[in-house]
Amino acid sequence: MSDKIHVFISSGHHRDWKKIHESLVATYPEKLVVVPSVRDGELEKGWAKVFEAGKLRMAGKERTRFISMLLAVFRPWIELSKVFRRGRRGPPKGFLIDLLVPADRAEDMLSGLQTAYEERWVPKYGARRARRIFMTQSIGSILGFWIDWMMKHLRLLKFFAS
Amino acid sequence: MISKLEELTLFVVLRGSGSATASEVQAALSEAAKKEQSFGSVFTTLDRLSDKKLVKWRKGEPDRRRGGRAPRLYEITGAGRKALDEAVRATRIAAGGSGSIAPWGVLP
Repeated sequence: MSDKIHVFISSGHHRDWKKIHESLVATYPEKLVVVPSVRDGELEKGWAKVFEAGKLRMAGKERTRFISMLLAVFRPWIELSKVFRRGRRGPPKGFLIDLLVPADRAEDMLSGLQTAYEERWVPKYGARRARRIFMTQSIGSILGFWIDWMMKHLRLLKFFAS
Repeated sequence: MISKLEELTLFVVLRGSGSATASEVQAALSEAAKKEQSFGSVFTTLDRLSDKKLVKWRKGEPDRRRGGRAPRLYEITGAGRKALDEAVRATRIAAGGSGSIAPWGVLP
């Protein structure tokens, strides 16, 4: 894929414009700037305010100037998002589990959680929610491990005390 | 006597024919419960079953992805099969059935 940044200005006239937005974002996750529909009043006002433009429907030179302004404004954000997205590829690393659970148990825990993340949670819930589930399940697993460990040792203590 | 969760876990491990992973157990239990089952309870149950020597595990191959971890592959033991069979029999008796042994016939 080239390093070109794609700018998509939606007129919002197409009846499936939301789908088009989503598919474009999915196709060019790091290289796309989508200017939302001009029919979306709030967004339109927002953009108009940012670029001090009265209208977002522009043509010819005006549009070119607008796009270059957009690119200039968004360039740092695009570069930053590239860095963050690069870090986000693949399942979460499970740093907490590595830190708080003995190594031999942590390995199996992480393997199980990462497999579930990739094979079930991401297809079913999407990356963002899958990450949240991964985090919750990680914390639950850590707590479960240590609570079980404590109960086991308490039982032993009780046994020796009696 | 084993708990219901242990019984279900043993069923999944038995179905996995020697290479059931915690992830598979969690998936099967989630499907059965129709909601996402806690991984914590699955790991705890597997550990407990392992301590009771109802299942045994060996280390599997690490995942292919970079930094991939090796899962434990669980296998049911003879004692595990016996415990499972007793649990099924107890359920059948409690439900008013014949109490006959499970179809895979573990008990002699």
